[in-house]
Amino acid sequence: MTREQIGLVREPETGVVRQQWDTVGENRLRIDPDTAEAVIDALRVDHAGSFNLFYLLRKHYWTAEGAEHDDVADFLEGAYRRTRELNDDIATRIVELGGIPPNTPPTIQEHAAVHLEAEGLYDLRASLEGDLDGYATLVASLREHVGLVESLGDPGTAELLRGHLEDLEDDAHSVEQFLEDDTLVRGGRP
Amino acid sequence: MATEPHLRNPGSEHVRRAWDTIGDNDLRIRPEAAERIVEGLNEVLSGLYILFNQVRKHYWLVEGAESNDVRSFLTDAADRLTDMTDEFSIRVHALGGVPVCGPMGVRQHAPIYIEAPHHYDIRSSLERDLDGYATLAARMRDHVELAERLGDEGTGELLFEHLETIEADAHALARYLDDDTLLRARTTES
Repeated sequence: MTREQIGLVREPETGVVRQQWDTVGENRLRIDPDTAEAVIDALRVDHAGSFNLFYLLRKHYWTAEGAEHDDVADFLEGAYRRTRELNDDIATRIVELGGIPPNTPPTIQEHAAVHLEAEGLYDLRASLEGDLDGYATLVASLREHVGLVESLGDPGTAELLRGHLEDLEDDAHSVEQFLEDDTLVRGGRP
Repeated sequence: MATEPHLRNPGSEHVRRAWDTIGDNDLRIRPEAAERIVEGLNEVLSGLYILFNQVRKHYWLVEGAESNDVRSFLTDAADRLTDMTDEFSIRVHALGGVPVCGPMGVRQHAPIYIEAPHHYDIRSSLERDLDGYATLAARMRDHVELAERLGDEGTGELLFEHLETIEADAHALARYLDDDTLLRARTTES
């Protein structure tokens, strides 16, 4: 089933590079370039992390099995869509600040603190525990970055992150509730 | 690609279905047929993963006079890629397979490349998107035929339905790139 593994990324043969990856251009927000660069560094971690969480939640949405699968899958579908909105909003902010969001598998994986799951399908409980772990990592990072970007003098970015933090915390709490140690199934203690 | 991303591994005792294996399916499709169809769908999923990343990159970074129009088209196109990715992944799971869900699986199956992470001009960017759509459409056409030949009309129909969307979006991209304009010729052009 395998073909020889190949790198996925290609330098195109045509086209003009308008901006190199890993550089920061000017911004129209009159944010000092050094500040913009520090904010972009922080945002890249949250961007890559939310992308991985988006994929993690989706994988479990696709493949959830068992008596509770429908309820869990419904929740995960909504949750992955909210994570994608966060990912889009952070990308847009990075561009406004003069940066380029991580956009290839290597640049995403290089920055992500939220890790993907190994290939293969795992039981629902182990899967959701991984999702919860991803949420916890992302929430902690966003919370830290709210403080950081405020101290750097970029309240706009802080406001953006704060807005999403609430949704993320709610979703993390929902996953936690799915995992609580109580059940209607006789003899079935998770 | 330099290094394998760090993956969270819940442990072998939690595995329900290993990567690159086919379990039973409840659709009464022969296991050998299911295996070939899953392989085809995973190829399509890998292509969708790459296109999704590239199309989103282009709507984050698009600049210039036509940017609003192009951005809104690409945003909607990315939504369509998401929806079909969900449906194909769920079909792979139903067929007893494991859907591609990370860079390793994508590398194993990908029919197209992703452009390097730099910001390129919009014309060549859209040309590469169009190329990706066209390649994907060709593969999907092959797989429609394969699925039908192997007696899996459900997958054939699903592929066919989304093939029409891919073709429509490819055609829209081609029209954006067509050589006609309301702008008077620039003085820099001969």
